[in-house]
Amino acid sequence: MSLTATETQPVDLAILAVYDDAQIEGEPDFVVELIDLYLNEVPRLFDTIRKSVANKDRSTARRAAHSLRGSSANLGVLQMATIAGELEHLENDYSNVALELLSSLENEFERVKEILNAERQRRSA
Amino acid sequence: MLTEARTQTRRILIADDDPIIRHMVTRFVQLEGYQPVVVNDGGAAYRLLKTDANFRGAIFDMMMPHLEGIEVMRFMRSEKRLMRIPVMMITSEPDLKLMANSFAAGVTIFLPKPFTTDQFQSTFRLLLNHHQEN
Repeated sequence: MSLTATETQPVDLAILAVYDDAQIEGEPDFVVELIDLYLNEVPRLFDTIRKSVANKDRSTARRAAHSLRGSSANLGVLQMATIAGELEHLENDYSNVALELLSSLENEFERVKEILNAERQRRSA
Repeated sequence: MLTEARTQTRRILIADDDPIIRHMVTRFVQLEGYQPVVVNDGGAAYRLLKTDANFRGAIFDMMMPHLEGIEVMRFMRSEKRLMRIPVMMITSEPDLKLMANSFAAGVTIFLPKPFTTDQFQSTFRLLLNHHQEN
């Protein structure tokens, strides 16, 4: 398990840029829309994971981690996708490790937010 | 008659609880010239399919709250008016056994996450070609 791995770039902007080919002329920037959805959704998923772990509801926590893994990977948020995958597939010593992983995700999300907000601003300029 | 109507419709049912993936898939379906009909989870897809069979294809996330994609698809395969609608299942589980079981249950094609616009486009066209052949 790699709770603090930092070698991977927080966001691979080249993956995000692939979605420029889904842009429709005259419509709002599609990538900015995806960034906004992601920035709104992640805190909601963190909240769901925290509450589910506290309630020992592993199924809901797993589903939220699964969702976080999928959307992170699709947007090139690779390190968060990796950690969310670890959380999704946890089996033993559940609560403590799950909360450690959630804390890693929250720290990583601070770095990710900076990059995505900068990309958002660059595109909106 | 029903089959003919279904061949002509351009409606595609999309069910995914993840707003980001849902937004992507909706856009990609529009870019292919089809009309997305979007619901937020498997339960909503099930309720809609009970009264509406007019879809050219369906795209479900494998893991959804209330009713998972595979369960909605099993319902479709048990109903005469829905059984010929091809189903694409989006999954982030690279589990061959799960995929084999899903094919056996009637999934037409899988799209693994993460996916690009091009990967979606190729998979979507295969889904609809399958529909035309059947």
